[in-house]
Amino acid sequence: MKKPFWSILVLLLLIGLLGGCATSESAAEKSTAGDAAGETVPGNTAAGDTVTGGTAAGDAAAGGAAAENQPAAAGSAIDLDLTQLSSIMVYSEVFSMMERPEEYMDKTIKMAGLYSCFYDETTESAYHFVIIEDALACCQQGIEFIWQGDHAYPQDYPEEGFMIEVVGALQIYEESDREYYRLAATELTVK
Amino acid sequence: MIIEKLSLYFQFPFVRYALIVGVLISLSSSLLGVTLVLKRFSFIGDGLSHVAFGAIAIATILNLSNNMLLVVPVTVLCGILLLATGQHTKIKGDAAIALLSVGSLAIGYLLLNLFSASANLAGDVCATLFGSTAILTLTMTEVWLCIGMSLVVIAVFLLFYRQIFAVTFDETFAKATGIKANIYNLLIAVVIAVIIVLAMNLVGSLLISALVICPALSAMRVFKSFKSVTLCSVVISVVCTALGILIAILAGTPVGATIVAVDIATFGMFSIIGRLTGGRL
Amino acid sequence: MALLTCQDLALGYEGKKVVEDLSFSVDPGDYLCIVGENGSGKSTLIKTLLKLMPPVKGQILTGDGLKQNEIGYLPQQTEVQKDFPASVKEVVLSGCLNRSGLGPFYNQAEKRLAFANMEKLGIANLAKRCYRELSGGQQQRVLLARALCATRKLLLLDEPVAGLDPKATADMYQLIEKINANDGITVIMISHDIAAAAKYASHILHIGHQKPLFCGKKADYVASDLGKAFCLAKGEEA
Ligand SMILES: Nc1ncnc2c1ncn2[C@@H]1O[C@H](COP(=O)(O)OP(=O)(O)OP(=O)(O)O)[C@@H](O)[C@H]1O
Ligand SMILES: [Mg+2]
Repeated sequence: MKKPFWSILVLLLLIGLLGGCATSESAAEKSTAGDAAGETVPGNTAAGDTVTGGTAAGDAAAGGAAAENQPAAAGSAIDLDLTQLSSIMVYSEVFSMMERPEEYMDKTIKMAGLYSCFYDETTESAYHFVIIEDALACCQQGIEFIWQGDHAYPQDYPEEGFMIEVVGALQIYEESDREYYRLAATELTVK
Repeated sequence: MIIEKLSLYFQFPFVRYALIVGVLISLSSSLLGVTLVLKRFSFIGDGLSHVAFGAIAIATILNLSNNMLLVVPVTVLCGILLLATGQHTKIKGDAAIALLSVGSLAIGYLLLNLFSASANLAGDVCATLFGSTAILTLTMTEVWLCIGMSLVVIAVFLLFYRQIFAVTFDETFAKATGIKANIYNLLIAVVIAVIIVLAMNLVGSLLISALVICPALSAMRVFKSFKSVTLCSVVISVVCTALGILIAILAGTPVGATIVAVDIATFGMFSIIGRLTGGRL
Repeated sequence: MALLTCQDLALGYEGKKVVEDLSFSVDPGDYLCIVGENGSGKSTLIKTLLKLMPPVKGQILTGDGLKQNEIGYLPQQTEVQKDFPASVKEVVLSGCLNRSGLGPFYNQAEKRLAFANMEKLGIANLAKRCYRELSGGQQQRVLLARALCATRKLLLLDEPVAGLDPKATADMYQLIEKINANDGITVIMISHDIAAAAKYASHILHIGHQKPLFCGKKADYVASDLGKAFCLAKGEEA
């Protein structure tokens, strides 16, 4: 009765302390977690699974995750289909996308949400968003997208607040010296 | 169908983390439920969660990368402060708690309003109060911090289980027979504060009392010894939390509210069981 | 060397004196019985001896290496939480805590001690019952068993027989006497039962209004006018 108890206790304490300390190394943890995410994200078709470290780890930082996936050009296969998830899952996944975009780079993502547009007078350009709400409808997240191809704003775009579905790959772009993430949408359907 | 959905969801790492962290948090929070109920500390839980809210507001404004590093010490400190004042004079202690908790809630919200860079203020506030998705949107640092703190809480409870019993059951006797009751009271306060901070991730600051107290109350309906009540409330808490998280992600309901709803339903069930068995267990 | 020495002690609450001019000492092996009217400050004295509250004036010296965790205590009223879920066994075992280390379990010796004390008080059959669902007298016995578990040198009892039936009362007195005589444990007991005090105690402290009226050997007390008067009054009542 006694022995096992004390060993369990010591174990608990050790793990606990390690857990506390491990936070400092969590940066490293993150990238490993990223790999895991890359492998297990559902909706992967054959394309996603066959890849194993084909590319050399050129840039160590984002290397793992980026190398996971075939270039999006490989086909219209969808790596991550958010329309299949419950609302709270969508919100959480989008949160994780914003938190760790490097893990989602160049993945083909399908998502649905409310369309919203923001017109910036200074740059004279329109920014388009898919808005995702959480279960309490108090938290929102917007993912910017750019509709590939020849589409004129505002004629070709839906009206603000419409439910839309977009398919595209996450990409990074730079504007006024800051980095932004957006979905390069190949498809846009109004529902 | 549901199984399929679940196995699909389980492929998302954040769902797995949420379950692990949720189970650990609910385990550690249920341990001190009995003590909290019996020492009439329920209000301290509420007060502290508001303090934690204020601390989170400040951390947000300061743009700290990890706001737990600020929230934990501040909350623990206030826990000790509240308990220390609460000991000497009853009424003053109550007033102090009310003042501190409402004050930090108001100031926290005000500061957020004035200085927050976040575009979605209402959302931030709402998330901290109701914990709609907090457990699903933890960063890796937070996951490890939560796991570490839960395990430390569990270890401390196991280590001081009998002392906590003695001090809760009859503090005067404990003091008279040479148990350092004040130190253990302090320890209890610190552990409670840590639990509050942890539980905020799970259910948000408004629903904490329910998470901490419901399992203990349910268990007390049916069981009559400290050991069996403690064990039972641990089981209740863990099962309810796991169930709550699963229901929430399947049905898309807010996590915190779902967990608490399951807890309340369990309480109702145990009340009936208690009636039927007449407390013979 | 005396176990406890009180020098010019004054007791009270928040500076207000209840009793003053208390000076006495208790030697190892003594059986001191404290008597006096309701509200004369007997319980206050015990609480002060236990360092649960500070004296208004004077000091209490402990000798013979007496440590706080060698003391057993039976309070007059326990502020036990109303709906505390605790079994009799858990309550009695908690008396062993002051001789125990850390961790969630009591060791075999402590369990044996707790069981022996439950046997002594005739509550072994209640071990699994819930404390708060017992009768007043049963609860009193549980708390006594707990006090006995905590005792190693000194036992302080505040009206131990209150609420016990006549047989249990007689058993109780015999038990305390045995503990005092056989185990060499010093006993300080508050009692309104002056006859029992005169029978079992070795020393008597009689507290009157604000002042101690008598403190010394039992034989002297019984012979004194005060003792006679008090014994007589009590005798007539009965
Ligand atoms: N917590 C308290 N605060 C203030 N005064 C108190 C407190 N407890 C007791 N007193 C007062 O101190 C005096 C002594 O009380 P104490 O309990 O010591 O009496 P006692 O001798 O034990 O009486 P009894 O025989 O009824 O047990 C009483 O006058 C009482 O009013
Ligand atoms: Mg008294």
